[in-house]
Amino acid sequence: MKKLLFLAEDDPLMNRMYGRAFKLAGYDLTEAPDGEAAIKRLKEMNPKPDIALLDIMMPNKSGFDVLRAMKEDKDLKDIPIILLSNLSGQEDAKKGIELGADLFMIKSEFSPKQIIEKVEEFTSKK
Amino acid sequence: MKITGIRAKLTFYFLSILFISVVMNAVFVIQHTIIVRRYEQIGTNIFKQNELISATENAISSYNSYRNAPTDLNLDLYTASRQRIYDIFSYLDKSIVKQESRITFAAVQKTIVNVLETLDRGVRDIQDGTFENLSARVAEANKGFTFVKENISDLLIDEIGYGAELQTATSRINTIYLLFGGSIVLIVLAVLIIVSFSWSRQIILPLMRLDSTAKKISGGDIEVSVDQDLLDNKDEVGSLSRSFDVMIHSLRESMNSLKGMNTAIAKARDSAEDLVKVRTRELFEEHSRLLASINSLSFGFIIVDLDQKVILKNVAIMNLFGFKSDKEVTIQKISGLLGGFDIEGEAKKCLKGKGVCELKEILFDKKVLRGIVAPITSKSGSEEKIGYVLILEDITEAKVMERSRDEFFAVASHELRTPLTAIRGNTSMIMDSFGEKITDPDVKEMLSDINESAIRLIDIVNDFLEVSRLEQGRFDIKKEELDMPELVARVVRDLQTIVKQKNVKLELIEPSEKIPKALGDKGRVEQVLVNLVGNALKFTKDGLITVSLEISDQFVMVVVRDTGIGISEQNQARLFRKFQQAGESMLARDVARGTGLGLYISRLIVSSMGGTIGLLSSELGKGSTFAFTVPIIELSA
Repeated sequence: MKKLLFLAEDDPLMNRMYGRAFKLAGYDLTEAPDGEAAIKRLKEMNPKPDIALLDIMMPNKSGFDVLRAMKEDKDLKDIPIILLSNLSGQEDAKKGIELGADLFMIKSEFSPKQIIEKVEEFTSKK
Repeated sequence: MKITGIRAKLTFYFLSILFISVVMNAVFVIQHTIIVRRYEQIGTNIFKQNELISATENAISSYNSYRNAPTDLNLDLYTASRQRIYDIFSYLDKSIVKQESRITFAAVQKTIVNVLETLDRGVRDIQDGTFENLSARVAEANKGFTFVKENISDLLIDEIGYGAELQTATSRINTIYLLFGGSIVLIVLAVLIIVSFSWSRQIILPLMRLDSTAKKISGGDIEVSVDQDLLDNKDEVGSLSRSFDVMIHSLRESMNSLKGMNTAIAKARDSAEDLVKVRTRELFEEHSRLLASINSLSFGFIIVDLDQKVILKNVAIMNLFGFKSDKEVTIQKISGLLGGFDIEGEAKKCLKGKGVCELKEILFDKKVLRGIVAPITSKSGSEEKIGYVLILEDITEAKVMERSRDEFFAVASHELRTPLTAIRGNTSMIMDSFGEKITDPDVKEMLSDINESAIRLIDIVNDFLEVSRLEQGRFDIKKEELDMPELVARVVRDLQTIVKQKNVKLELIEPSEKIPKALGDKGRVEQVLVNLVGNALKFTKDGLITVSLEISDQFVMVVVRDTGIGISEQNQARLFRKFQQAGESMLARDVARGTGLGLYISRLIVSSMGGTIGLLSSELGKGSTFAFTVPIIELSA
């Protein structure tokens, strides 16, 4: 059965690239263009995704807000989360891990292939 | 002896009066004692004379008894009476003093002696047994006795008269004494009046004269002197006058020297006033300069004493808070304007410590203020604080600049990275997923170049951001215990994959001594080592790169040696600067990938950990040796 992956990303360039990469890699994909939509969609989704990739800098609500909302929802709190950002702040990474994210990745430092490798690490654990 | 002193005179007069009184009393007492004795004597004499009559009578009657009945007892009575008479004789002989009485007494005595002789003859007759003349003898004795009785009466009268005489004498003495005593009192009074009068002349008049002299002096006339006759006086007044005269002289001298001093003081005061004027002007100028300096400061400047009273403030502080008058400037008011920021508390905290304290940023009316508290000590080097300087600086503009720079870097980083990430991601995906569909090797190479360019651009952006963060000090350096041999070995192992692509060998030389634990940020140390080895790789086409560890003083030194192109002396000086690469020329930069920021970043990192980095040696065409140090952990710490 295909793994279900949730991606919250506002930038269409990134959105298209990661969407294509995950589909090519054989994942089912649900997307959201901003934080608010992401929270709404995550709550509606059934079944829930196997992993969530959240961009940090998004309109309306940030990736951190989505992360907090997920950790407060009993159905979403156990889903592995990878935070994606192009802001290379150590503070952001620290904050994300403290809030309960499993990994913080700087987008520019990794090719889509490397990100998929990480995603596979988390989803295969289940 | 001549008596001069007033006290001595007084004493003399008093003693004289006392002496006269004592003598008079003594005379009076002696006289009275004598008279009393006389009185007693008269009494005794009268008594003895009466006794003489009765004793004579007894002698006659005891003889009569003997004549009528001669017994030893009667004879004894006669003898005793006879003896008694002689005793009285011897007493009266001494005690009767008056001449007439003595004559009468001598007649009485002679008659009694005759009576007794008659009776004695009668006794002898009885003893001889001749009794014829006995009666005649008794008659003769009685005849004598009658004479005795009459004469003794005269004696008694004489004595009484003598007593009366004595009485008269006593009253005369009393009168004389009274008169004499009264005149003594009068004399004493007179003497006293005379003496006091003479004293008033001797004491009071000179004192009044001295008083008037003193008044003249106090009136300012110090040229007066004490009259010569007062000075010549030998008593206490003379002494006082002389002392007074000496006093006037010394007063005159003092006044004269005082006058001299006054003149000197006036002169000194004049010159001092001039000096004060000059100094005051200088001080005023100094003060004005100081105030002008303080007022020209762009930041708020207040001097506050320990009671939180504002001593001095500048124009900037008035403008900053919009104060209109000096009175408004109080620490409490400023605290209030700053939203209750406790300046007083912060200042007190600071005064307890040493040196200057920086307050945290304070928000005020859309402005950001930076506060500094600088304690003022009573004198330099002293610990005693007498107040503090409060500096309030409007750093809003600087903050806005800082924030816009931060924002610029954040935005630049994000906005540059996103398209670069897309380029990098998409090219790599084409190569990964559709590689077999592209058959043209040129297209393949073009795709690979696009990918590599994107990665290089991302690196450049990363380096820029890194430098920006490092230069602003906005990064955390962890303090970790570092096992340097382990760390170096791991980095060398990781780099082998890259090295394999080139005709270069990377070797780790085992340290000859035990390397102690170092203190630093593990990730950062790795970053620096990777940078140095990376540089060595860039500039070594084929050859050997070695990494080794040494101990250098209190540091662990990591040495990276290569056999690359080497660095010219001219370029060595430019190493570790921003955007410098030690290629043959600036145009040679594209020989190897890099921003020229690597060594600069490494230097910032190493120095932030307390170490140093540098080029140990280099020779063109033979290679270079770089090294950096990390401090050894102090075991005591």
